[in-house]
Amino acid sequence: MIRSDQEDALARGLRELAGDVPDPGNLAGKAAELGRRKLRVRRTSYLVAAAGTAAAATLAVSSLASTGGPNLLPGAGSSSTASSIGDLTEAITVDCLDASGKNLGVNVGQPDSQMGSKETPGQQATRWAAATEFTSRNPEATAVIQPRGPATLVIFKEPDGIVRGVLQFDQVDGAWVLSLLRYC
Amino acid sequence: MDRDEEFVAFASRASAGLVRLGYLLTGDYDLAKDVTQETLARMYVAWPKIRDQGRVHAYARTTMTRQVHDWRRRHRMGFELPTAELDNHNSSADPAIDLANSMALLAAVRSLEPRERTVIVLRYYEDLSEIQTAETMRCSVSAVKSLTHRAMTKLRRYQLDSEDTVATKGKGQS
Repeated sequence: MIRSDQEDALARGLRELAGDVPDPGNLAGKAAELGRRKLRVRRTSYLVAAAGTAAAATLAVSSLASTGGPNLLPGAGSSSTASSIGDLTEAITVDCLDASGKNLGVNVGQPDSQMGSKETPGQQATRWAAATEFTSRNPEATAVIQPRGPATLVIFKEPDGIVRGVLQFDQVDGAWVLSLLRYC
Repeated sequence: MDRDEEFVAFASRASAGLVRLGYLLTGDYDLAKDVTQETLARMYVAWPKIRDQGRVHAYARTTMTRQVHDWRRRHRMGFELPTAELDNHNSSADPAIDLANSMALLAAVRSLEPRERTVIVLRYYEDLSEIQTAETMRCSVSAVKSLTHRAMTKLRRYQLDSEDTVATKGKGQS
């Protein structure tokens, strides 16, 4: 059994150790800026959720199966849209800041294959996430499915509400087609 | 005072303390600064709520602890000491190494498993009770007791090993 004087020595030692840590300088300004950005993302996500229909379903991405999926066309810009109803993903801010605040960049574009499928958008998004290793990069993200008129958005969110990816599916001849993507 | 001014005033006062806590939890100064910045950014988002509830410091501590945990998980971080550093520690010329010695203590704490390290820092640096530690770490009080016991046993063993090594080297030199 550890005696209390050893515990006292440990507490004293930890305080001394902490006392040797240099002053970090001004972190407050940067933290506030990062916080403002998080707040904007959260508000945008909230507005998007409010605008969607009530038929939103959540499913855990990490528990779903992995098969093949479409790849993103490299270099496709946000202005290039394969969707006949326009780019609905544009209204949603995808935040690719890592834990250190470094921006890893958002991939924006359209898939190189636009085959329709009888699978639901949720099922297709899950296959896409697994096939592109999005799931392993964002293991805590869950998919929120939001019907938006003739299209459906699948929004991948972290538990704290930060959006890591948005997929837009359009309905064509009774099949769901993945038309646009934005993701980390 | 608006939200930004109020938050920046708090963050300016609190950041050095949070970096110190982060350093003890991670053993890495630069990482401690990064984790502090992320912690403060999350506090900014929740600022009106945590300010009104008067639990700013508890929120900071909890967020910091979870940030470190998340960081470890995402980056598969280990906290093993480099061999050279251990050798350097063990070859101290002074046989009276104890846990109050900063270098020895740093090495010893770094040798702990992440959750053991966290419980030691929260209990003995932050002076939290077992219940508060359990709430911060989102685990049971019995888990805190168990982790504390394991960590203290390891720290004591580490200290004894260090003394044995120094004593052996001392004999070899005579």
